[in-house]
Amino acid sequence: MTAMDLIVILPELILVVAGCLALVVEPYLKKDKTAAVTIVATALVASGAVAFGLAGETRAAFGNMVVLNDYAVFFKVLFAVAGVITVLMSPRYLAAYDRHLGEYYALLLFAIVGMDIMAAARDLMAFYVGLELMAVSSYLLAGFFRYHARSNEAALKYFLTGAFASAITLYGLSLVYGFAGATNYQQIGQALQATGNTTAIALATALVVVGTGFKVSMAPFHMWTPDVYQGAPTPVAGFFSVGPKAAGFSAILMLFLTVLDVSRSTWSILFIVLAVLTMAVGNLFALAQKNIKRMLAYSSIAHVGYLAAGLGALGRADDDLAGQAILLYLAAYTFMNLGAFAILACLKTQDPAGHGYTLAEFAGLARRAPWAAVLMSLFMFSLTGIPGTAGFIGKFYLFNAVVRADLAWLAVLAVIFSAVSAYYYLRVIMYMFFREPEREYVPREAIGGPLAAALALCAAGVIFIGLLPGSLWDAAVSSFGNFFG
Amino acid sequence: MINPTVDLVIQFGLMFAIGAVLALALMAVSHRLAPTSRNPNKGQPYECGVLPQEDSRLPFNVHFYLVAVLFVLFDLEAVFMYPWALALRSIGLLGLVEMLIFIFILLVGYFYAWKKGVLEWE
Amino acid sequence: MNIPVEWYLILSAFLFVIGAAGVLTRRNLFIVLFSIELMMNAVNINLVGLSRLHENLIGQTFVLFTMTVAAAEAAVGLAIVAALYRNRKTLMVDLFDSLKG
Repeated sequence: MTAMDLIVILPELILVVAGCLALVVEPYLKKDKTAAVTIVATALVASGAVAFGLAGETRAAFGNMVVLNDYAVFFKVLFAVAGVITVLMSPRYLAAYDRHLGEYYALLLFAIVGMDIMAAARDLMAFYVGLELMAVSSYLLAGFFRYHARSNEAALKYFLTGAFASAITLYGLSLVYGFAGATNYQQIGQALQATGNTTAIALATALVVVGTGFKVSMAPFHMWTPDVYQGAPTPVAGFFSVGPKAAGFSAILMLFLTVLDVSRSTWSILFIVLAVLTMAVGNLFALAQKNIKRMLAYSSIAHVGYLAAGLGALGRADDDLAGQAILLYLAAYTFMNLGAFAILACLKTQDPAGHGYTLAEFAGLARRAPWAAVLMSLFMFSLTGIPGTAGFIGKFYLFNAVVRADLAWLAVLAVIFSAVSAYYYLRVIMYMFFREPEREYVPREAIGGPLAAALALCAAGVIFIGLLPGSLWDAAVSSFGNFFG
Repeated sequence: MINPTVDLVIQFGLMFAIGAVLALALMAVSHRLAPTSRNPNKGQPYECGVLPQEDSRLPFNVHFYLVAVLFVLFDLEAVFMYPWALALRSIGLLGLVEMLIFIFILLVGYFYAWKKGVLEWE
Repeated sequence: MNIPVEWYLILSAFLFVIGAAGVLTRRNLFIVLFSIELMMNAVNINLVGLSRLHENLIGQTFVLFTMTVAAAEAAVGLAIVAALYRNRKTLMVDLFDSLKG
């Protein structure tokens, strides 16, 4: 290590220091946790800003274990933004459940550090440690409501599937090490080029696809997702639906583009099959959901299906267009999905005992809480992919890349499934604006404080990406310049 | 001509498949063959003799688990110190500083556990 | 006596499959946790064996990390199980079904 190496991980260092600080401060805080929230929010903003400032730099550190390049910077900024939004929507929600503790924020920070490392890792060891740091923190966040059986159950399901998936991934990685004799991405890539795509490498590829597919909830490895989202605290569920998923895709892109480049034909077919399955399962099951939280869980599976189609296209094409489109899609998806979950968190905060996230409870929301209804409609439009919103831009670039890779049938299928998805997204809007509520609701206080800031950030992101995607697309394109520092 | 490493892994892939089939087959066989007599006497600890008064598996205080889990965690972190100690001469002062940072992070965890009262015994 | 590396790989593959079968079929939570540990340790055997095949130490270094991570994972798993047991008083996986659509 040299002191220069520290610059490469400066965004993570800030987060680790703040996380430790939050843990040390926590025991001294009474009921008021403003200090912990401030530390963590400041650290996240600082980390994102530092990462942003490091854009354009390319260098490797710690014996080529992690790199600093535009690809890592893109994800580090994205994770910091997702973290800030999650932190902003948490305090009132946790306080409503009487579980407002500093550990929550520390765990969130550690999870984000793990995600950062996954995006920046160029060595299987660094990747694995990052993955587990993210995963272990996430299990605890899912079970943060320790005295609620549902939260426990969510944590357990997340833990069992997560640990199982990690073990499968790890087994695949150990085989990759066996073929290549190295754990550095670049060295493995070169060593495997020499052997060619053999059955054995295809086996290792399949194991890694299954393991990472579990993590980002591709069908048929998605069964845990709705249960975990339903049982976990709502801000945490929102975070899960964007953070670990984006981190998973950041690592999947790197692993398959550099390490397993030799088995492109294998993984591209695997991802195409998984994409078709995932889009079908996500969209069709979402139709049947009466619980909005579960509906959003299945919708997140559907979005993973579109992204998997992009991965399949990436394996077929000669350029990185599909990869760049995946990055853009992930950024757009982060804002719109976190926004939808922020609305849910807001409604639940206002009525912790009564609100059950059911569709019926959204009836007549436009009159009770016009702002919440308008913002929810914006996020639902964006998730559907209506032009003018971030969701449209994401889908447009992604499906375009899929068509360019001679997979027009897959793009058509994706568009058909998007049309199906309009039914369950727009149904929420229909309920909010045109349905009479079945029972009387007490008027609640309006959205305020940090939660309003979180919603404003999400809405601004959705509209900005929807109208002016140019700068973000440039960032996504430049991310695919140089993978190794 | 097959590369020896690759050949080895094909063999091994076969073993993987055989292992999977064998594990499933054995489970299926034991499921089929296992006697399923539901005689209550079968469940008793002794065929003759005094019946136990209560369950011998007492629930432990959850505190034991907490301390045990903490012990395992801190214990395993020591694993990193052995290779570090061997390489200390070549990595020099910077290596020492790195290990101090590592231990400091462990201490933060220890401090947190202490302050949260995990180490207090009633 | 020199044990060929295939033997390690075969042992590891067997342990991994047994662990995976255990996770998928067992009902008792603790057995499921053991099975996951078994899978991780199968990987460790693999890594150490392959490390000798390639005559470098990378695999053994990797094992140090998997060991610590497995311990952290087990600790978190036990904590979750303890919290769950306090609320539900059972350790049978298939009885946890309060989350449904």
